Amino acid sequence: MNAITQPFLEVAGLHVRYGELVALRDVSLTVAEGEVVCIIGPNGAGKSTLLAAIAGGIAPGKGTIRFQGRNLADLPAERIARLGLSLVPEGRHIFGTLTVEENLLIGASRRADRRAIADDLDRVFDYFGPLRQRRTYPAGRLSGGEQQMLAIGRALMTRAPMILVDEPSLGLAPKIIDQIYKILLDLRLREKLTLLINEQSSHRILKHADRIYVLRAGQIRLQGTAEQLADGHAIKEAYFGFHEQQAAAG
Amino acid sequence: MQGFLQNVIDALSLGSIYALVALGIGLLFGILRLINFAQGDYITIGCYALIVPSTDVTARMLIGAWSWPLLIPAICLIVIVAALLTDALIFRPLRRASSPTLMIASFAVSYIIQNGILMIYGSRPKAVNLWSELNTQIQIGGLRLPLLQIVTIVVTLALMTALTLFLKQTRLGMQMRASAEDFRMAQYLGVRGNVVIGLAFAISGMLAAVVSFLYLTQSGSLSHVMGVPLALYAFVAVVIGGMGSLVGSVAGGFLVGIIVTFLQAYLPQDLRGFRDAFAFGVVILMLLLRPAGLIQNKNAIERV
Amino acid sequence: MNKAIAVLTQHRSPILLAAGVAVVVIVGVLSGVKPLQLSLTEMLIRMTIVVGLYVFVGNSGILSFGHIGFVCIGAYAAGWATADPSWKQLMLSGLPSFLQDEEYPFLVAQAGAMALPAVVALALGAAIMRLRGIGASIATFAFLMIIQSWYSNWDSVTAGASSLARLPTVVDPWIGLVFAVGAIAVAYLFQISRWGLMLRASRDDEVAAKASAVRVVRERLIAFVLSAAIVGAGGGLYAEFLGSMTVDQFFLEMTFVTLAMLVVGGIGSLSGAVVGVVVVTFVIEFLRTFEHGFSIDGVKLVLPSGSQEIGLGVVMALILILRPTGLTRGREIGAPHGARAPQPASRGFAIPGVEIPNAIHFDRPS
Repeated sequence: MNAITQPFLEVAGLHVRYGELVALRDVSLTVAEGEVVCIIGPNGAGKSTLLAAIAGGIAPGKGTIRFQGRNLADLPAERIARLGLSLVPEGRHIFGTLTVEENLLIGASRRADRRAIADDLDRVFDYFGPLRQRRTYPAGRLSGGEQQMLAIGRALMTRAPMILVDEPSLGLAPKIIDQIYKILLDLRLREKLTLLINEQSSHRILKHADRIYVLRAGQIRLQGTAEQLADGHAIKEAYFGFHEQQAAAG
Repeated sequence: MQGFLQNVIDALSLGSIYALVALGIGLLFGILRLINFAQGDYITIGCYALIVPSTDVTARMLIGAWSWPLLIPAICLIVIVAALLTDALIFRPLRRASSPTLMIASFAVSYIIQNGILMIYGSRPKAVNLWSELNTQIQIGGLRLPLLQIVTIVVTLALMTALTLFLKQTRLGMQMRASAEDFRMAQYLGVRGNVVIGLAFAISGMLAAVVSFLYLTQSGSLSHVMGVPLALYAFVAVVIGGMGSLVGSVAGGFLVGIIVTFLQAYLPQDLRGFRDAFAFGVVILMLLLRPAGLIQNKNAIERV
Repeated sequence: MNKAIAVLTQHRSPILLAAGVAVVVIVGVLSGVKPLQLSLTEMLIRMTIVVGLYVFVGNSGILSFGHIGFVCIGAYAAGWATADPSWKQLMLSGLPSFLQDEEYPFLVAQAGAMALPAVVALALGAAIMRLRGIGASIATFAFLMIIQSWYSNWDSVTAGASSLARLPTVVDPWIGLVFAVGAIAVAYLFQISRWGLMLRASRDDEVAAKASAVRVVRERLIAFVLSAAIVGAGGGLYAEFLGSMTVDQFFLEMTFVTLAMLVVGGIGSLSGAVVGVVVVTFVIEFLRTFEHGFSIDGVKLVLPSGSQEIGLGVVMALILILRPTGLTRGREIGAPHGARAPQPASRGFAIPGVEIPNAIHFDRPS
């Protein structure tokens, strides 16, 4: 990574609390333009909180979040979305009472260029065939995998240069997950899409990510490139906290 | 036969009014999680705006004396502004508040509006004559039908058609539907929350204005608490029909209108007063047994 | 001696509240101003009601719009017990004879005013306490409507739309004080008891609350029944204070005023309930004085009638917006400085994919 390039997304010293509970403590990470960065960690580590805080759904206590140089920390979610950062939350959150096509069009809410929107709609349908077949169905009737495709397609419709994806694999068949990743990475190449992804599976992360962060109990425990962490050993340790456990027991 | 038909038309007409009020409440609940008790008081504002402000027992028409192409838009405008004001002053600062807090706030708004009207116009009900020439019967086929009730039903259907077209065919309407289903997610996609909400209040205001015409023409009298029974029954309608579902609110409104009319017509005399108790008993039952409402919208996320 | 001081210090909060209220009452009574004494008595009755309301709302986190229904039940229970039998035989033909033909002493009437609402609360609560937040609140609102409609039409027993009259007016500031302090004591004992603590824990941590759902329902029910009994006592006091009453006095207006008192003071603490009653009473009395006209330097200032109500509504709205945890911020008087009531951090609305602990149903995020 070119050290002189300003990071696309830069999170520094982020603290998030829920009342008495500290969800994130002093979290810092960077993402360069065109990178695929993955965050891995056990349940309750704060991965979803982190993405939600970046996207504007949660107010951070301390710390800065800069996107393309702009400070996001106090902006509302809709503002952040319009600035070009789109979140695909866990659980997909598609609009069940709207049709598939309407869901995708809502994704284009921040845009005004009708012609280009129609073209993009076509493009998304090219990527996700099953969605084209079901374009007039209420989205609530799609299967889990199709809904995830729809959620991703909707994020693509925003034409946001950066997309945050929270646990894309949850509850989906491996074949579908592969397909989704293939499309995301394809887009990263073709349109310089920048991705920040929460993942559960470490083998997928090693396969697809440029860089990796391990988050546990609200703190970053490990970071590195995919090559550096290729054997997975360090990741596993950071994920489960072996060193700390040994130190505490010993 | 005539009696029964009369009851059916009365039921549909009353149901239309409840449906319009319920729609206003359901719309705001879907988008904001706000149960707006003040919806009934928007109606009261629309009615009182017709007369000269004074505490006299006899009412003198002010806007009410204008011809209808001026009167209708004027009152609609006044009520819409009032609704937007309540949002700007009280509900917007509470954007992030919980649903029960919003409920209390709407209670406060309702209280303020009612007492404000009381202060300006006095506490005694006033008789008002608005388009009373509609209170006649017309002959269709061999049947005599009440004109006003027919007008009410027709106006309601027309308004709902217009609203449906707006929601389904326009970009803003689509954003509203998305917001009503999942407000946060819509924001994550760049939908402007305050625009959608402002629009929702404006539509609620307009619905309230229409109800004030239809209701006042029928009842002929003004009081500062006239909106309360409308809001209460509309609230029952929303719960029965399914909170957060617009179709449910409308269906609930018609259902309540039908039930109330037929109870009124066919209940024995001494039980009629307990109508309200019965209606709210049904509310509790619904909450316990079918909280998603009668219109099970499988595609929507459960709200309550 | 040291032990006594230690106990007093540990429980200083309710003691301070009771003492503060007592001082206000003593000063008011000694002043000899009759209207002031009437206002004070009404304030104490309302305090009983609001403290009772707090026992449920503050501990469970569930907003109730229906408690004035229990006040109504309590008031009429006391009325049935104490109204003049000859009047009852004439007007309330539907009353059972043990009520219709007898006149009971004040305390017996109060016992009934507490017992009947408690029984009703047990039945109602058994059904609705399992409902979540807003659903339970809506159900309590429906309950208020049902009681209103039912009692208004139950002519043979409640006199319907006319007044239940000829009641002895025995309630004076001292009796009011006894009941208000008693309510404070009971509320305090409950919130430090096992059930109270468990209920508050489930209020603050919804994840844990869902995990042990059955227990939570039972704790809520206990609080609900207890609070109904306390507000019922308030109703009984009202009956013996006013001397006559109608069903529509116990409806939306009273619901709003008592709720406003609790919100202004602070829903989350007992001190909030007490402080709220005192502050709102002062605001109302202040505005009432201006409504009647107030002369300064020969200039008469008069507020139009209805100012009290609007003033109260505005105060309520301002508190909700600016200080949603109320004047006491949900803390008890005398609590260690800096102790904060738990506040959720979310920007409202459920965050997709994120489970939020420590969320109080009715407080706004900081």
